[in-house]
Amino acid sequence: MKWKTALGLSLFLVLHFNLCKAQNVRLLSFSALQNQIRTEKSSVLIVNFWATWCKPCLEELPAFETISKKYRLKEVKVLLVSLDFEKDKMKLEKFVKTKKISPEVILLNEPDYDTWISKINDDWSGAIPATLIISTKSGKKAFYETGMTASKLEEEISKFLISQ
Amino acid sequence: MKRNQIYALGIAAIITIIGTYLFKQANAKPARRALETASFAQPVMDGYQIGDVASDFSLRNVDGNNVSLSDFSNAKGYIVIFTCNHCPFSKAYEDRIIALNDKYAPLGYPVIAINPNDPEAYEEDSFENMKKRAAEKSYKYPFLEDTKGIGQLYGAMRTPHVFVLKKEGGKNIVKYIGTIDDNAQDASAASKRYVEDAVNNLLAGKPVIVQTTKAIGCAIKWRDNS
Repeated sequence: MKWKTALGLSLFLVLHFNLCKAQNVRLLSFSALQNQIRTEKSSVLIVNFWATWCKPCLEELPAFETISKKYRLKEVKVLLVSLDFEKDKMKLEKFVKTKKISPEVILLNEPDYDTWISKINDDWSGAIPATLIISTKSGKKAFYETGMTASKLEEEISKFLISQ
Repeated sequence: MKRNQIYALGIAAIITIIGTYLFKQANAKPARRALETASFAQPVMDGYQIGDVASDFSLRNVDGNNVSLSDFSNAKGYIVIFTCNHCPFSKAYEDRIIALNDKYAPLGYPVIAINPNDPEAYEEDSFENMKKRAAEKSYKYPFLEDTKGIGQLYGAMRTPHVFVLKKEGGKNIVKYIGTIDDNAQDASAASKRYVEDAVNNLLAGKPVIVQTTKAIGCAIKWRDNS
């Protein structure tokens, strides 16, 4: 009887953690995002700017998913910053759930783009996809206003992991 | 707590951990296969700065005829907008682009819309679909197909991307580069109307105050041959 209970309990927990773990997407202002970046505990933070309507962004999402899983023990964190419109928050949440996106997704709600794009990087025109890699220890940053592949990401991450 | 209860809990914990690990592995695999197909977009490094002389061009309009800036002999300048059909930002700004033309074409600053996207990448941006959209919304301004890399020459990075030009001594001088206003999501909430402010100042013979702005937009997928 006890063993059956244990088995049932573990099955429930496995299913619970893996199937029902769809994350809640938080709505953040730019200052809240800056704060989250500043207080990040992992040694390397990868911030990808994307949106559900952006085709090249969706093409590269699997690369970020892979990197996030592969490097989770190496202190690399992936943060997916969605630039979907605020009114499309439910659409975004549904997307995150059905695509089983595991890295943290936030919705950046800061419509006056000109006030903050240059604060992410001076050379960023505002086109997405775009990716920022930050070493939280040294403060070193790299910015890419291009599409990414997992191999390109790995190459860039390795530069950050070596330099620490 | 009895010993066999502790055993049972321990087993439950172990199965949970193993199960979680197996699930994560199973989820990770399809992702790894898909990523090999992603391609790189090359960023445009040059392009126009404020004060540069903008080139004229001759591109096919949705009515089938080629259009050049010089066709508008009475124009004092131009509101050149790189935009397209598929991009949600272009869609969000479409009515505002129509309104800009309605307001400023009679004053000598017509809108010239150019679609820089490769229709191979976005079917919605094909010439046929450009014609369709222009007819549906009764565009009163040209909507041109950029088959000659004019977007790259100007330095357009995203859609929509605006270049306000002013005619000075027979040349078209770049006076403003950037976004239309400060709120893509909600036109009524926009408080800084950059393009209107720029054109108003040019019409009044004053310098443009805010000359460049940035905005989120859709990356342009250039044609291979442009």
